[in-house]
Amino acid sequence: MTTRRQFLKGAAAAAAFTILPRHVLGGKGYIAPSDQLTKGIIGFGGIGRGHHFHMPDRLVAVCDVDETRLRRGENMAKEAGFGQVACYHNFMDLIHDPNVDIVHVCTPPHWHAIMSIEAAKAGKDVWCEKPMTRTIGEGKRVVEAMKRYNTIFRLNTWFRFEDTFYGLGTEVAPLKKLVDSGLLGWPLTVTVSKHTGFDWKFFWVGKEHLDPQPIPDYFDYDLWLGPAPYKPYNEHRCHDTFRGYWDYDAGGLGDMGQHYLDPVQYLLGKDDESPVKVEIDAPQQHYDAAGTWREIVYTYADGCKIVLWGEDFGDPKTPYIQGPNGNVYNNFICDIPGWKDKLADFPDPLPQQTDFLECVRTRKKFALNEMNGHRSCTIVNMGAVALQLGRTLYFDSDKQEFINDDAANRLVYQPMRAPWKI
Amino acid sequence: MKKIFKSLLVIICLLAAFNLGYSQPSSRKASTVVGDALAKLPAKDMKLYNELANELLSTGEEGMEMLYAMFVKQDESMVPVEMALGAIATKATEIGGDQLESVTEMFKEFADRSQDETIKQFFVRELMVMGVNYDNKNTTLTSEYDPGTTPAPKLKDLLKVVKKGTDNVTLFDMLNRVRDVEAAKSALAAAVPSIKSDDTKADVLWWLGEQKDKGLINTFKSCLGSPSARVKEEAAWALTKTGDSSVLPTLAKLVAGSAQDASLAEKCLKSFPGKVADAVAPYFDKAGDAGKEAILNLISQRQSLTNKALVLGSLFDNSDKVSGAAFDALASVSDKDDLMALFSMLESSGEANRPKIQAAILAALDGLTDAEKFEVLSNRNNIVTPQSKAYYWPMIIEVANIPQTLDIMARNTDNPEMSTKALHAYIVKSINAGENGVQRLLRYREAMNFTVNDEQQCTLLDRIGETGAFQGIMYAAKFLDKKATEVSAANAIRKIATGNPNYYGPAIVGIMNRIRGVDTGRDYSYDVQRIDNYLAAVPKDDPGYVSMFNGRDLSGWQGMIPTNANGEGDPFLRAKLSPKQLAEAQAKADKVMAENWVVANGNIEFVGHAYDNLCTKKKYKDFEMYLDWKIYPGQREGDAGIYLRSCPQVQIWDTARVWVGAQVGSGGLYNNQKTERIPLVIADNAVGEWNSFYIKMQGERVTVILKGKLVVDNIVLENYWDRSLPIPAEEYIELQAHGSRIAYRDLYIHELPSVEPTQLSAEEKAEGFEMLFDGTSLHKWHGNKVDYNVKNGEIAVESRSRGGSWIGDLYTNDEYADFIFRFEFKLTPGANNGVGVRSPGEGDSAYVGYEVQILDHYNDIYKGWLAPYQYHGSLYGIIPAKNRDALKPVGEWNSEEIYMKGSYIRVTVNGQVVTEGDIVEASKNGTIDGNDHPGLKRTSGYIGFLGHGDRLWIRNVRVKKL
Repeated sequence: MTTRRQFLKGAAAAAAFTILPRHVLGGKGYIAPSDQLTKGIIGFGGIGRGHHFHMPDRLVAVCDVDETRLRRGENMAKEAGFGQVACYHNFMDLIHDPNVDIVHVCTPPHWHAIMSIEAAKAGKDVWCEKPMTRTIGEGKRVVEAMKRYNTIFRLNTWFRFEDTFYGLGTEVAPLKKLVDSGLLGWPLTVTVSKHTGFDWKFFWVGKEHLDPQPIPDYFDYDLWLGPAPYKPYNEHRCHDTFRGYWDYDAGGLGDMGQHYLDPVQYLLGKDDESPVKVEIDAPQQHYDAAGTWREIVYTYADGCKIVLWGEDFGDPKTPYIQGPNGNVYNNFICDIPGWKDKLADFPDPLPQQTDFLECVRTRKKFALNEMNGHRSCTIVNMGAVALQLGRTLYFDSDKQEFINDDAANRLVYQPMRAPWKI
Repeated sequence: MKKIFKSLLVIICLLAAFNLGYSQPSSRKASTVVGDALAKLPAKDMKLYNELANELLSTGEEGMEMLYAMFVKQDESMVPVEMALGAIATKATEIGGDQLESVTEMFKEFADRSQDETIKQFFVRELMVMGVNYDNKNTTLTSEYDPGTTPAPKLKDLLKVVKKGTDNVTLFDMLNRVRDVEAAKSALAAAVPSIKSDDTKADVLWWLGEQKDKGLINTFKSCLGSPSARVKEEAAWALTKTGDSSVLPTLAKLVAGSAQDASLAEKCLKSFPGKVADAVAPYFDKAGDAGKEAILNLISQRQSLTNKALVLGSLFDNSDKVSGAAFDALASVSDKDDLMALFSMLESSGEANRPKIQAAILAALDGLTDAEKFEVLSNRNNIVTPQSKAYYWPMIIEVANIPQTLDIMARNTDNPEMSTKALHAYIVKSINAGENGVQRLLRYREAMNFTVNDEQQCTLLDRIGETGAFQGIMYAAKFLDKKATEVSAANAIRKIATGNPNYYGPAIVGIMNRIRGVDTGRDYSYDVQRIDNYLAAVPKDDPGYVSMFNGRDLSGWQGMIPTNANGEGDPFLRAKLSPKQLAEAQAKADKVMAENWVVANGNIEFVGHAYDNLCTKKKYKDFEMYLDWKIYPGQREGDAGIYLRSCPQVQIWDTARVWVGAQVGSGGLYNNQKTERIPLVIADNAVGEWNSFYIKMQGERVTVILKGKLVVDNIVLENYWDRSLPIPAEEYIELQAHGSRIAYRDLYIHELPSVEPTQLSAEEKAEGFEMLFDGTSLHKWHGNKVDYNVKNGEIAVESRSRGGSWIGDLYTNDEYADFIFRFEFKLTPGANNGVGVRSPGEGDSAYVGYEVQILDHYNDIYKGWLAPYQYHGSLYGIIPAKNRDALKPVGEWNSEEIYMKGSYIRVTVNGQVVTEGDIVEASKNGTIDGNDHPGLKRTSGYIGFLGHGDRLWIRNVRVKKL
């Protein structure tokens, strides 16, 4: 355990009573820097530079293997009023910086597991961007490591507890109340498609043939690849277009999957289990470049289904949630007569722990943590495996492996390039 | 390697014997299988993928070597090769065993052999899929890692720490690692009373609460009385999470406690199942203000009608908070019996509670349709004082439909606040109804008539900018003259035009140049840039859209000359008039026009009772045009239309006239008999409202979009005057007069380049050739007219549409026995098609009829494996092409002639005979492809183009029967 976390001991007790923001421990209007939680960001691409300066924690370190991006991070930190932050080329240095409490993993997904686990080993708490891990096997390791090292882990998507849920025109909470009420019946089918307000962003497809290019001198390509296979450099593999390649992500499914599917898992109450079957309708996938697909269907043991439609596939009039006794459409419209009155008899969903910094102080699990985050990421990764193999797969929800299917399980546990391993 | 190949072959034979889905005929060579597969890869779906993967796998070492050779060559079409090798690896992995081992060995060998890093990595990655960590110096399989187990804390230690009290980091470190949850649960629950530290106790209660165990209820209950707020809070939440009904009275009782307790109870009970409101209601009198507030909030959340009296009784409580909560709850307990009371309450209430009473009134009306609610509220509104009316309008606006909302705006011209409220609702309702841009523009123009200030006009102009509708540009331009609306108008115009670069023409360019000078504020420099980009993209050689109506008089228009007893204007009869007759007839027609057609309200309006159409002075060939029209209400026979090339017509009629079939809507090609005359959808606005047409005429085909909805989709307009002929290539556009009052406005036309029909050469004419496709129409063909599309005087064969499938071939209408068939074609790389001859018009013509191959056989993907009878010009499977060099390079036009007489066939490409022979002779010992050709018996049939989903172009198709 690090000294920083030791320092936090007892802080929770003080914090729990105050109605002021958690970091205001030094008295009104004053934030003692030593009381404030500190954070280091690894990866200054689209996510790292996006929207993470408003957090009431203090940025003290940034890291990127691209020198230009590292400088950009340094400057943005200055502009945001954090002063001079520590700048690292190698993420291990950031993780082991004693001034850092929280490690914010903003890299492409092929790094998420390694960095989260290394941060946990170093006694840091972790804020990890979606998708949580690139393979199901890596996700299992993260779950185990967070437990072993008593780490507070946040997977960063938030629709299960706040914000209008994309094109659905409602937050998730009222939907959860309706689902839990049982008015719709059981099992349910949830359709996630453009028609119900979710675009699968097929512009994230990769290019099927990349000519080797010289590696820019400001860019450590070898470290960027890390555990991924060493393929000749082409700028389209990296930075803003990496999502199109299986080695690092899984196209539009990888990008939006956890945003779109984690709330579905929450709605269906499946935080502790995974689907038992995944079916696909898709053109054959390229070995390197992720492509498009028409349909992916997940089935849970109790018959609940999650249906994904790419592009304009499927009937536009399909409800978001279909149940034996009623359907729910966009903008929280239900076709059960008098449903609003009936629903008033039921309780609201239980509140969730949604203040990450408070969780860091109190050590309570964050609402979306390594456990349920891994389950919703598994939905994404099951789809990616089925797409790559081009067939229907069956999954053991307890063992978290495909059933009697060596080929599919090889994509559950993929090799890492030395020296990286978890 | 040899050995591997042999064992592979054995396996394949075994698999074939057990019929494991190998559809592959044994006679097919590896090269044929690979070539066929490459043409179809990447597979479009799982079925095809499995088929191809099995076939590819069956080619063994030979096929893989072939693919490797292509891969190493690395040109641009390598994706199918990667897909093929990938399919082999994946399929082998699925089957496993020796077969997997063989493929694995091959791939290792390829990885070693390859000099190129990309190719090497390809095989390394595929080997990984096959479970081989080949590049093992550099990789570790994650499955080789043993995660071990996280040591669980000893229960004894945990209890010791808990009882002593500890910091939360240490505590949760232990709690998170607990494996035997049941044991820990009961031990901790038993220890709770003896935990001295309140913080530790609270943390333990939280952990126990997360277990949602009903068995722990008594433990939790015992902590509810704790003086520590944290302990009490965690105990209450732990009880809540059990969801057990026995807990409800305990939690409910809290509302009668301190203010803090009451608020805790409210939060917990909101997430608690059961009759929560009934459980807390009995404590109402005992509760303090905070407790009363909590109870009212819970009554509100559960819409508890049984506790309505509490709500009503608290409306005028001395505590503002209690009274406020009661008014908040009012909507949840109101029903239609309360309506009159609520009305009086609203009319006498203070301002603060008015919105809550309005919400209650709307809740009381729940169950009625919006139309019924509108009626109830309007009736009340009609009888209350002018001051009270203002309290009703917001509710009425909420339930009104779109026209009713506009009506409310019109009735509130003396009340700008209400008028603006109505305007915003009107806009939102139109958008929420999913109305398209064209319809919304019509709506916004209507609302503009009732605006009471510049602000409202600007609001509408801003929205007009979102419509993307053509007429929005010209309309918004009218607001450029007023300083207050200038910027909004300029923004609207810029947005529409820059978002639709196909909207151009002299008037629009003029307006764009004008708004370039309007300072639009912060983004001005960007705006100028956008305008300049737009202007730079305007085609220089195309006038674009020009106005057909100057807004003042009928310049550019003339009367229609009647040519028959019915007063119809037949252009063919008109053409027979002498110049003198024509001049006289025109003068007479113009005189009638002057009486019946007027410019009024800025529109062209027909005010007569006859049938004298208004004709353009100019004749038009191909064009696209916009115009708005409106049927005046109160007429029994509301009817009009737009004649194209002097032929009737794009129909306009009052859809209420069901006795003439008008319920199908306007926009249809009413006079068609063979082709579709009914609109695809009903898109009309009501009589008395404006409608917008976009009409496009290209060749003989017409597309009509009514108010943004496609109603006629590229349909042939028949020649009404003589149906044996196609429509005239050039004639007037006419606004139809049909005895009823009609208005037209905003007429803009864009003339399109038109195709001159290809003519037969003098020789061919003399020899008796017939034109089958002259560049303008497919009226001599049947079959797939979707993927075979007439464009720019050519038949463009479209690539298979995404997600869809090829829907068939294109055939002549006539059948041919002996003939000379001539055509020109242009290919894309690798393109494959074919000419079906003596075909039955369905099925695979290569076998059930004959197929003369069309193929870019120069393409590398075919190199080394094409069978002789698959080259371009071959009579497929029967007579191979002897000359393989006659085809021009891809992208150039080729000419071809197919001569067929009896059993003799000759194919000539670009003047060189490529195939010649006698079919009977060639097939007497069976066909060379070894396949069954039932079509050999046919002596006559259709000629057709046989699609393979590849892109190519065909033109100048002619035929002569021998």
